[in-house]
Amino acid sequence: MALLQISEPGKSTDPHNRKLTIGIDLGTTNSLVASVISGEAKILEDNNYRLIPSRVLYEQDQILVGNDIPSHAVSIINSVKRLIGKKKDDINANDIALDLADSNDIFIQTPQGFKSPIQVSSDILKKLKKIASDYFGDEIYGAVITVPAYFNEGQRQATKEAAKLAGIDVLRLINEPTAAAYAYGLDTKKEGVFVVYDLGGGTFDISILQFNQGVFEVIATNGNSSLGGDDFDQIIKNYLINKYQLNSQGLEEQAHLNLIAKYIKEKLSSQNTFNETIKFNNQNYQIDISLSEIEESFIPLVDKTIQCVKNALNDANLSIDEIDGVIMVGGSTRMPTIQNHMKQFFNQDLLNDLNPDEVVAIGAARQAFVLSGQAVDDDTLLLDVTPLSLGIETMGDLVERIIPRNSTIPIAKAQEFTTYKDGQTMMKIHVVQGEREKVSENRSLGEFVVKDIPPMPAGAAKIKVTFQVDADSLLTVSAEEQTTGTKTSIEIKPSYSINENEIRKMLEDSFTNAEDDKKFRSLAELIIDANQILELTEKALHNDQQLLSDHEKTTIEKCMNNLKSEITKKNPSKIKQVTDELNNASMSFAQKRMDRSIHSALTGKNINEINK
Amino acid sequence: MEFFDIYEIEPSFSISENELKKKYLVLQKKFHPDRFAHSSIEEQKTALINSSLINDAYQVLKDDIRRAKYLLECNGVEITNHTNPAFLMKQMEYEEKIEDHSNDKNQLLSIQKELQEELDQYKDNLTLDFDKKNFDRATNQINEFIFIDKLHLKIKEKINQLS
Repeated sequence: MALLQISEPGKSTDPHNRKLTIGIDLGTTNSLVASVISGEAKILEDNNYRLIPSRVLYEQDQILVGNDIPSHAVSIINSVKRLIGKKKDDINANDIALDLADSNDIFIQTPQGFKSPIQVSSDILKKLKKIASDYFGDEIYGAVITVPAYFNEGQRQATKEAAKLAGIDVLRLINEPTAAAYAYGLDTKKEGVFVVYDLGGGTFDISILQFNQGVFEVIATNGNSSLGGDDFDQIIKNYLINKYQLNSQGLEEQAHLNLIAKYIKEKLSSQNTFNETIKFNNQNYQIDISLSEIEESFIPLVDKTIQCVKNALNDANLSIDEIDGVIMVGGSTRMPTIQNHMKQFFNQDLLNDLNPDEVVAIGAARQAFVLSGQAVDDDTLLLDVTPLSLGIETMGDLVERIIPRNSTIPIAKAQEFTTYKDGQTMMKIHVVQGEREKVSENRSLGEFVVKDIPPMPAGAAKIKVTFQVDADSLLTVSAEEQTTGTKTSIEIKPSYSINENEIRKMLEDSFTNAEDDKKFRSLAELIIDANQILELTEKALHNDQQLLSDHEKTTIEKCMNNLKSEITKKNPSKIKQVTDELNNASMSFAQKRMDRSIHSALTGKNINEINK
Repeated sequence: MEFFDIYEIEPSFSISENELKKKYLVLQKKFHPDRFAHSSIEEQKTALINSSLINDAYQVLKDDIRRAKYLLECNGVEITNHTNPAFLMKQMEYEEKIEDHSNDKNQLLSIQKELQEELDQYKDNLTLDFDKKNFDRATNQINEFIFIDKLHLKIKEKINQLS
């Protein structure tokens, strides 16, 4: 009986046909890129820097990333990972020293217009890809990109979109703690049950894994995707402001204080007191802080992480004495407060042998190498789990769970539905992610509309809806009417993220921008573009102007009039500039219109398919 | 019996958890999508379906209750929720006992031990029932087993909270 369809993986790999693969740790504070070179995973350096700060600076005529940004620069976009795959409602805008667009979707104001967190992330990824391709002097075949284990569907999808936008072929998204455990496991070859405590810049993950017969099996994962080392910086920052009466008004001052706080945190990770003169607002301050005076304010944060550890142990049905090793990941785990609490909690010494800043990228690089089919003698395998339960809305705002959290992926679950009206041809399924009982308290992933149901009496149709979570932990949904065997089509209206037209547009934009030598496009082309956007905007205004506030409408109309007058003057750079202005002014309008139309980012179609 | 076939084990209630786990790792090593990440889109799709099926089967087979229900389903037996009055009495007695000693860890531990013994007894019974194809009794046993299992979980949580 052939239950499992056989197809042998491509066994022989031509040694001369090398595929360059990289592992990318796309961090909140710092990012790294690594690759397996002659059998060893190595960090690829950017002019001798191993860590690439995850910061982007948009200037009129260029985009600077990481170490390329001059130290005196202002208006730098930091910690964009905290924003990716989120809505304005999900974040505390006060914590983010950025100018955001006045829309529910997050757009950051820059001299190059509004940028979405996906675009900013993709600029970081482009830089990392370039470091690698410059190192090898060749094209990159594919990459493994790590994400926090506790990232939800929207955040994962957005990360993958950012990679696509950067022109990176994603072999797999893997979870950061899993990557770290993989690096350790391959290093020590020790089997058993391991806990990974991963405190990143802006995210916290806990994963419990079993390493057995060459398989790294995640048993349970937990965490908090908005708790990280940055939060410890905030505590130090507020402490500084109070103790030294610092004036922290303004985005620049906030950003500067963030850097000072991070510096103090790092110093206090290797010494008990900090005594230095710091320049702030053109004034010198003698700062004296001891670890003991500030340690107490860290406790609530540490306790939050311990609660996650307890939840994970509970889900895994394990007690502390069954843990064979505790792996520490993330620069912030160097803090003595954390080291001491964890040592005490687990009642054992912690594993710190591999650099906690680099171990995730190293694991990712090794996994990328294995996935490309080049690691001939390596048959290790990672089995990961879904961090959060997937469910659907049923009557009365209640959630019916379809795929419980900590299910090993890939996983498929089918559910049968029926019609409640005679001749009903459509059906709506609302998919949510989270652990709460009520729909409104979980994260809405989107509405799936099953269409083309053959008309039948109420209750006669049997529609089998399959929820498939793939090895990247991303969901696709398909449906089939069972009695007639009709493949019904599905359309998805995601509640998060951007739609694919926008990605395509951004892709086109990125190609345009990449071609530096084609900077000056012909006047004719510019005028065609300008007329096209004028026409589109006019049509949109005609149809949907009720979506706009009076102010928004006036701004758009003003831009349109400017553009019309510039077209008659035939100055290429002016036309380009005013076209861009109109584009920016109408961005949130376009977004609102897209939000209403049904689109299909969740179906797993990729860019190439759409472009066909 | 598809799930048993995938794991190449005889359909029965009693199975070796160790053997199942070993086989699970072997199958995933062969069929997981990671093994096909560099293959054609078609092969990747096949791997996704295979690996999902292996996972699903493993989840069902390793869990006593789900495995028993699956066996009944494969034999075309519908699971009814009929409970006999004697068991209802037992249910209530256990609930009361746990309620009365909800702050006494030692008492709870001894109730937990009792429940564990009950569970073991049910497992023995189910093995026998399925071997003899006595599906009516098996259905009855599963319903009771589910209840005792829930109680067992509940008492474990209470003990954890106390310690």
